[in-house]
Amino acid sequence: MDDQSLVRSILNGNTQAFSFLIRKYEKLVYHMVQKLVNDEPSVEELAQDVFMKVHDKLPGFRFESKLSTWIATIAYRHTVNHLRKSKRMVYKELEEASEERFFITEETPAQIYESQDTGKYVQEHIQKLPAHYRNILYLYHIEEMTYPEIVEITGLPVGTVKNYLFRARKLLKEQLSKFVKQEELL
Amino acid sequence: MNIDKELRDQQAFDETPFSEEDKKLYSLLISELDKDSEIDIKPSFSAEIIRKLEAKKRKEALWEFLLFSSAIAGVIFLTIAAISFVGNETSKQLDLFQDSPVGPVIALVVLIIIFQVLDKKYLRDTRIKGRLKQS
Repeated sequence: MDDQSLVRSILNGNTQAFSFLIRKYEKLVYHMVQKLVNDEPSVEELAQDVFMKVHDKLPGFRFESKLSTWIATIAYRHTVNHLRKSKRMVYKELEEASEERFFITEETPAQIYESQDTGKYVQEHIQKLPAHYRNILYLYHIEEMTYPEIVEITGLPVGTVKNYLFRARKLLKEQLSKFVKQEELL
Repeated sequence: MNIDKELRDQQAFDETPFSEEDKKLYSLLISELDKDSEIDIKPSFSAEIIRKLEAKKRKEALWEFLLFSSAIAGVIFLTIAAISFVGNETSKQLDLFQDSPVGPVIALVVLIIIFQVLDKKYLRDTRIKGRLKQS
């Protein structure tokens, strides 16, 4: 079922259609929320709230953007508002943190060795990046969204989006170089 | 993802010419970033949202019923008060508009309720119907 028919069906009161929409976009919403909030119970709660909001706002959706972009925008803004309301300073701190702080703990060769494979090592280091960096990496690489779509979702200027993406990759590449060197030594 | 284009863009950002090692590392990194990480979503996730949504709908329906009932009761009450005010000057008990602020307050409350009913029920429904006609 395409998105147009899906939305039409939901607006006609079809609950099954909304259930289908949830299953189609749950991964996107979960990832969006999880990149900003790390603790598991609030991730599920926030993801549920996002879908409730999607249902409420659906009559106003005009297909001016893709449905996935629109849902991701709601997920992003809802989570950011939640972080602001709950006064978790983490969000602000991470936003303004300097690059030197991200991978502040120096890893020993043994710790690097424990990571076992490149994928796991990269994922571990993505978790250490600031929320905005993680989110932009996810939208760009996994969801394969364009810069204008990421700008629409995050509300950040396009220059900032590119800057975060390239800085994140540069930082990860530096960490990856340590891992590869360690692998070569073994 | 087009690795060559990504490398060019990254090189422009890094502002340093890439060595062979840089290229290999970035290529490896980009291929890792393109892989989706595992995420644990409960199978009952969508069912829970539907349950919440249905509970919300029931609550809204009850609230609409209360608003509608209050609006009808208010209109009947004000009609009786207005008739008694115009038609029967000796019936002072019902002359709410003249003796106390109760009448105007009730009138205002009734108007607010009627507005809420119209907004919630009719305007929203009309908006959804209009939206459905457009698509």
